[in-house]
Amino acid sequence: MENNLLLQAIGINKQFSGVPVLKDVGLSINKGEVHALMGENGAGKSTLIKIITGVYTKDSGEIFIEGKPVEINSRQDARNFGISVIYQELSLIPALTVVDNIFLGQEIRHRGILDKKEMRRRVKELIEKYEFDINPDAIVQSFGMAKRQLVEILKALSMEAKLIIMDEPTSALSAAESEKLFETISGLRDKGTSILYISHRLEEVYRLSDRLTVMRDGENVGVLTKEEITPAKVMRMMIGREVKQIKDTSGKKIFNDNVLEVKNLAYKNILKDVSFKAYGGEILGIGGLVGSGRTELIRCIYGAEKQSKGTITLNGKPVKKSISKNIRNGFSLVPEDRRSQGFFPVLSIEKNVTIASYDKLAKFGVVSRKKEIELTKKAIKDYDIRPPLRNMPVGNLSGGNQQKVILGRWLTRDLKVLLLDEPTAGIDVGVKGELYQFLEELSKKGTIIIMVSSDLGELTHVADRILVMHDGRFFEEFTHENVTQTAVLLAASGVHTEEGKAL
Amino acid sequence: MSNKVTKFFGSPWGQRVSLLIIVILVMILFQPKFFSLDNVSSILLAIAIYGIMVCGMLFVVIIGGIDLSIASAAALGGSILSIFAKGSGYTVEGFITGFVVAIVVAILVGLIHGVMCTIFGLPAFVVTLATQYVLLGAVLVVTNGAYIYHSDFGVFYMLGNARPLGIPLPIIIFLIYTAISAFVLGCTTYGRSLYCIGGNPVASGLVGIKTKINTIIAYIFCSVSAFFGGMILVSMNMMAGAATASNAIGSVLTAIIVGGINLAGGEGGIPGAIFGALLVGIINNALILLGVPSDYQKFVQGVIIIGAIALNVYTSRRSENMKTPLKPSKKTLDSAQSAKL
Repeated sequence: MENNLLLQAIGINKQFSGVPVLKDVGLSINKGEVHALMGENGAGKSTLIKIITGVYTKDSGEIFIEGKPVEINSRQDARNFGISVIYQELSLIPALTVVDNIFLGQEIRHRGILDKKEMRRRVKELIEKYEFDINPDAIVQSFGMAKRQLVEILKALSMEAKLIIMDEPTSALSAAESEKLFETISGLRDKGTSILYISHRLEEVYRLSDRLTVMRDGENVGVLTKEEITPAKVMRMMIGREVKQIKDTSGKKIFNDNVLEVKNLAYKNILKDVSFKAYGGEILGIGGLVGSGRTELIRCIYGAEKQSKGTITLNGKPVKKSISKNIRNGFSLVPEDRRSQGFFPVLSIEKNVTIASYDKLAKFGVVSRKKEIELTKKAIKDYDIRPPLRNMPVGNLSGGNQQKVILGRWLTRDLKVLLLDEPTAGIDVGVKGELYQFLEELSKKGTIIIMVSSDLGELTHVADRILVMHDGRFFEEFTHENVTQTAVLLAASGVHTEEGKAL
Repeated sequence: MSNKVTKFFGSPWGQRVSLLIIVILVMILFQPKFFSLDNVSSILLAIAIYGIMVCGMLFVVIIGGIDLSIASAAALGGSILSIFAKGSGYTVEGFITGFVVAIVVAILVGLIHGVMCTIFGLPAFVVTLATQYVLLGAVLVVTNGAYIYHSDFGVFYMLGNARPLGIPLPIIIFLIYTAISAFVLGCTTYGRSLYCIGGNPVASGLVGIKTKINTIIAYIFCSVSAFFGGMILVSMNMMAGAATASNAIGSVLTAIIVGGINLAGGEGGIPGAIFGALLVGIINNALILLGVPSDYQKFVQGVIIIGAIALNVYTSRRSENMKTPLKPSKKTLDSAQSAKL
């Protein structure tokens, strides 16, 4: 049994500026197993991975590989020990071929000149061994995400990786592509490679993994074998608290004095003719496929795009074309891609939270430090932003906490309209639950909430009313009572519920 | 305790302070004259002009831009003031007219930079590389390619040479200028918006920041600072021409780099930049006092830039490792601890 261990980490500790992020964490991975690592955002998964792969150095603890104690101080060290990582953001160079990418930085040379023949032969050998469907001479640019991932895996295998770490590998893949990836992973395992699989998607983990390590608040809270894994157990271990699943609609009312009305809205060729009313006190979900005009609709309402036709009014007054004026009138937007559009990575939590509230915090353009600190402390406390360090750059927080910072930026204001675009993409279950609760509370105060989402579960659980877009128009409307995930999906592809039943 | 000390010297400010300590120690050993009131004042005087330009450049660097035209801008500012002052026979009116005309031209130059970079979306590097030559050409045209020498002792002379309370006027102007710049960057909504624009221009637009206008204002401030610095310089030197402030761009960027300011934008402040200017000024002065031939001084300046960048990159990598590029103060840590309890 003992010699079946590939990697063992014991008592790993790590602090960031005095805040412990890992507390005596252990991890053991057997040879030829798929080992899943789960935990909420901020539980310490990424930090642990970065220690194993030599990106961070541990404060204390020991790592053994095949029974021998090792020091991993750089990515190169990790590679030499046979550990490879496949990150969410892939590290391939699009303009190069598959072979070039795989041997990038470790080219085989013959008297100083690249031995292209030999490199190509080795790649072909690997492709045949693992039965990948890839042309070694293709330019990576022409590949979709799924194939690029395969190239990354090949690259790892070419370095004789014994352990391949995959961080959210399916987040950018379609269902069919994910299916293929699972087959690949099973194939790798059968040939003796170990996989450390990090994912937020519970179903994947149940399907794939031989064992599962769960982390919470920087601690290892337990290891489950395949037979022991049940959804309820994993959720309980991960969250350590109850998550409300069913929507509580009691005490909700519609505020007729806060109404957003959109009439015959058109934008370029994307929005064709959109009309609807949204009331304070309700969460309006907007479904539809990517490209159906959801994002453009929200951006038009916010003033980030100018519509080519139609009117948008809030309580009878036309909505301005200026974002700053709209913000002062109570509009807010949580944009689609928080990294590129939402937060300021090098700036502190404080600056990120207060940036939209200078109308309240500043007089004659001079910011009051006192009010600024107060507001930030309140946001950190109310929205449980972790770690609670005002000066921490937001780029260093976990995805869920980054989103909380963006929400905190808006929720500390008096909002009339909150627009959200895919607010929980890449965020784990626990934080999702918290975000939904914030929305619910806000909605009870009379704010109009419009939420675009691709997550069917989110739409059906959180929204009171759902409008599904198809090809630049509203296609079908559902209420919280009569909605089903299938119906939303059908409407998004342009099939009415009634027709769907007939099919 | 020892942990705290190592942490301090690993931080950007720790590095700056320790470099300063090293220079001062060397000077104590080799050249005690360094600490005379005269010498300290001459160091500050040397920094004052570039310090004013550093303030302007910092605004532009924070939004992720750059202005390579400041040396030519300073020369043009100095030349314009000289022509009006000398032409009027050094009257107060002539001086004021020259000053106003120079500032108006500065605003126009900054406006052109800003508009080119925002509305036309051209890279600042290219735009200001080009205007550097345009402005230098303008200097040669207005001065007919010759130096303007001054000999009068009126208002014009006062600007660079007056000593109210025994302190040279340029130093006083420099201190006020930096104080105002630091206030604008640190305490006003405009200052905050610059960091946001540098940190994430798309997100800035979506939180209602007027990114284009604020960027244009930053370029205008930078041009005005350069013109203003040039005017004080010609008064100090009592001559103006194409070579006025010709090494300004090197000195100003050196100060900013040595001050640890990220040229990619979004980070940095007046204290760091001015400390950078101070350090460079002190080292230049020390080299002169130590009798290092002037040819070698340039050499040392180059080594300092590379050393500063190397140190900077090294520590930012380390702090990336520690995940704390901006170190939280002790107070926030305490509050974090109590919040956890």
